[in-house]
Amino acid sequence: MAALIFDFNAPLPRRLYWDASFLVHAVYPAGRYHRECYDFLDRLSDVGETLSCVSTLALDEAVFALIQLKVAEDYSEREFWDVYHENPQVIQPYLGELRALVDRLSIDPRIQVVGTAPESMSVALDYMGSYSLLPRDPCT
Amino acid sequence: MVTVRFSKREYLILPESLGRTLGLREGDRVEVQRQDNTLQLRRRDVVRSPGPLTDLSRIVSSSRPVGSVDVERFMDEHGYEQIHGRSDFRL
Repeated sequence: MAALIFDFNAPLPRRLYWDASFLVHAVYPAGRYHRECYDFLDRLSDVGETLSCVSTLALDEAVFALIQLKVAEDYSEREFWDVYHENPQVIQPYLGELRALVDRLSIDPRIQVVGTAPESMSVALDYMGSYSLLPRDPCT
Repeated sequence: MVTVRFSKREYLILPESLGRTLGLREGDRVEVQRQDNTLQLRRRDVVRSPGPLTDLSRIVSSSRPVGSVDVERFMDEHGYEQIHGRSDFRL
């Protein structure tokens, strides 16, 4: 079934899907389209009938993008993979915020995490914290 | 009939249809009690709305100016698993 794509100002459906790009722009203040996505979150806050769905795959993609963005802020002159391969521990300082984000998404009744078991990302974060793995690696 | 699986996380994960049948919602807190072979789920409290969704934008910090980063540049790669030490593996 093809996805239906609407403008941010269109009437809200009963269910809508957040892709990783929307999620990253919404939660990362420096994102180019943060303001537009923030305003849409604000609109969703007041509408009780709309359930937002986000997949575990989108969470995986968003968490990895956010890690890269954070590393780029702190190591602006270097490529992500060079920094990570030199010291995988480099991701550790960012995991607390990412865990808080995933936990917050998981408990909000206006958001439904779909795909693999909702706790998968949380378990993956456990492995990321223990072994400095990147989000998809604990699952492979 | 459902199959029990254990997790290290403090969650009770139910099939969605069973959860709906029991009148539970995501985030509800329940206490599990056992009497002989009967298990009881007692709902303790219902999680209230955790605040506006815009709270999500206050979790991840950034030192960069608002709206200054081309996020898509960090999202156009496909696959990043470290397979056999190759971080640039492509399907």
